[in-house]
Formats: sequence, C-alpha cells, structure tokens
Amino acid sequence: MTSLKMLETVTFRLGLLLLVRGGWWNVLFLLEGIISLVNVYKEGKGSIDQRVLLEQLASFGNRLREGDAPVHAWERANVQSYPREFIHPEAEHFSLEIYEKQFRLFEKKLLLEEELDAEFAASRLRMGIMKYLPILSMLMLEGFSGRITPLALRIGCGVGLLLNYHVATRLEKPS
Amino acid sequence: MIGITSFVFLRLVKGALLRKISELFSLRGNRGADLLFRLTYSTQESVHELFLFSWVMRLIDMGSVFLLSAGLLTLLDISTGYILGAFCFTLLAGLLKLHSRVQQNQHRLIEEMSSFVFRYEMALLGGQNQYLAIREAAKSLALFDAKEDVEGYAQELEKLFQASKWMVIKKVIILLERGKHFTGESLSMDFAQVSSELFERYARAKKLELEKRENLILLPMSANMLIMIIYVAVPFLAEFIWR
Repeated sequence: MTSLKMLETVTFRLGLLLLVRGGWWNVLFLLEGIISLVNVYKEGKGSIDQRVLLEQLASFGNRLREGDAPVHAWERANVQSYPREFIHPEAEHFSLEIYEKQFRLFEKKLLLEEELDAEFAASRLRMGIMKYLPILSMLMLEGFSGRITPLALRIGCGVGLLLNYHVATRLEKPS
Repeated sequence: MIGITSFVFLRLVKGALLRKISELFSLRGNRGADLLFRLTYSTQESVHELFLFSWVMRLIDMGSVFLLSAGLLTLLDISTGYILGAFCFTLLAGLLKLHSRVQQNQHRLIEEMSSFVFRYEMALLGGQNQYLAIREAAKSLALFDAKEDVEGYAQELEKLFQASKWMVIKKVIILLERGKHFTGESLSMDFAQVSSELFERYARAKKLELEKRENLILLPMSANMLIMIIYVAVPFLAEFIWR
C-alpha cells in the first residue's frame, strides 16, 4: 500500500512538472513532492497492519488455550500494538474467557472496517481517475493544438490541481 | 466611518454583552443542554458556560475585525464586497468546525460507552464486586471522576442520559441497578443486548462517516474539472477580449 501511494505521489508530481515547465516553479513543485514522499513513507512505516495484529492476537489466544499462564504467553507472543480497549494480560482479573470475548469484538470491528473500505474503493478509484485526467487532457490538448499556454495560467492550474490533490488525499484517509 | 464607529462600539459593549449572556445562561434551566453536551463532551455546566463564552468572544473579535476592515476599505475607496465574501467564508468554516466537533464527540461517546460496558462486564465476570467493577470500567470514560459508591455513578450516568438523550445509556443505568441484586453471569443476556446495540450504533456512525467522505470527495473532483475548463477556455477568451 505504501509503495502504491509513493508511486502515485511520484507520477502526479511528474505530470505537474510536465504541465508547468516553469523554471523556478519546477523546483518548488519538486521540493513539495519530495516532502510529500517523505511524509507518505513515514506514515506507511508508522502504521500497523491490522491483519498482522490479528494474527499475533490469535497466536496469543492459542497459547492461552494451550494452558500457558497469561503473563508467560504475553511475553512469548510479542504483540506489536495491543489494542487500547483490551484488558491487559497482566491485569488481575484477566482470563481466557475475557480474552476470547474481546478478541471476537476486535474481529467484528475489523470485518466492519474491511467492508466499509471495500465500499469506499469505488469512490477512491473515481478520485484516482480525476486526479490524473485533467493533467493528461491538458497535456494532450497542448500537444495536439501545438499552441503554448501562458506560463501564469499553467502555474495557476498546477497550484490548483496540487491543492485539490491534497484535499482529496485528506478526505480519502479514514478518521 | 460607520464601520469604524461600530467597531469601537462593539469593543466598548463587549463586557456588558458577556455579562448579559452569563445572566441568560443561569436562567436557561435545562434548555440547550443536549446541544452544549454534543459540543463540549461534558455534562458540567461550568464547562458549557466557558465554551459559550469562548465562542461569543471569538464572534465579537471576528465581528470587530470585519467592521474595522470594512471601515478602512471604505476610507481607501475599495469595495467592501471582499470583506463580505471573507466574512461568509469564515462563518462557513466556523459552522463546519462546530459540525465536525459534534461528530467527533458522538464517535467518542460511542467508543467510550462500548469500552465502559465491556470493561464493566469483564470485571464482573472476573469476580470483582460491583463498585470495583464500575470504578475500573469508568476509567475508560472521560466524562466523570471516581465516585464513592454505585449510586454516584448511576447519578452521573443519569446526567449523561439527560444530556445525550440516548436510550442505550438508560439501559446501562438499568444494568447498574440490576447489578445490585444479580451476579455478572445472570446479567449476560442484558450485557449482550447492550453491547450489540452499541456495536450497531458504532457501525451506523462509521457508515455515515463513509457516506460523508464519499460526498465530500465530489468537491475536489468538481474543482479539478473547473480547472480543466479554465485551462481550455482562458486562452480563447483572452484572445477574444484583446481583439
């Protein structure tokens, strides 16, 4: 997912550079692109894959079922990010029954999030097309007509497209 | 001149205006408590009053800035239409901010209540007595501090029910009442019912948020189309105008 996002960031900036072709403005767009790329990389690195977490929690549950003591199983499971709403294995009243209940709840929430994510995929695709379509059509138009659009207009459109790109990226992210 | 005079007048009456609002606030009884709860995520009146004051202050400051700017622009012989546009834009942004705050607080209430019910049930299953179980569970709720007995927690939840008008909270209060007479295991059906209602609410809130995002995403899409049209049309229009 992170590599896809990074590819998207790079392709969009390349399109913008081709569209603007405005000397120092190119440097500014390039600089903004590098900052965005670093941010995407950092976000991807910091996020926790929910499926991996589910796997870790399931293996922790298996250890408990096999008869391991909660503290011992917890030390061996090496869970990356134990959900905040869960009762901690080191808590006094923690038991297998409690763990199974909270695990089922976690699974239910994860399934719901996946379902919603799948529903949102169509909108994301539409937005993805709309991010590139204007740049592509502008470049095609310029190529076919052979007339050079004024620099100020190219820069204005570039900045507008970039702003829209950031607004759309923000909206695509789940809160 | 009218703008500058109004600005000075507004700054002078600011204190009196705030005093009047304070008086009205004490007279209002229970009216508007639900809206204030949604905005502040607190059942305490002092927090509501503070919130109201801070927003009224912001409104007065914003009004002063616009009046002063309008006065100065008139003196410089520039159209005041720009200020009116900026005013509408700021007002819209403020309303959107309030709306998103209400939504955030709603999500927070659902999540904290789910966590509260879950922890309460688990603590009862773990063999703790009712008071200790509630005290443990209440740590996940940022709405009230630790109380000395179960009755104190029930009263706080009653206040929360009055403010949020949410039936699930009433069910939780009933659950606390039943907890005085029954064990955790015999209440498992009630807990299952409340938990499933909370989950349904959580799912509905998530779906609503998704729909909102789907609608909002149309904005940058339309803006991109507009940019494309401008890019195509402006050179032709410019040529047409300059000829």
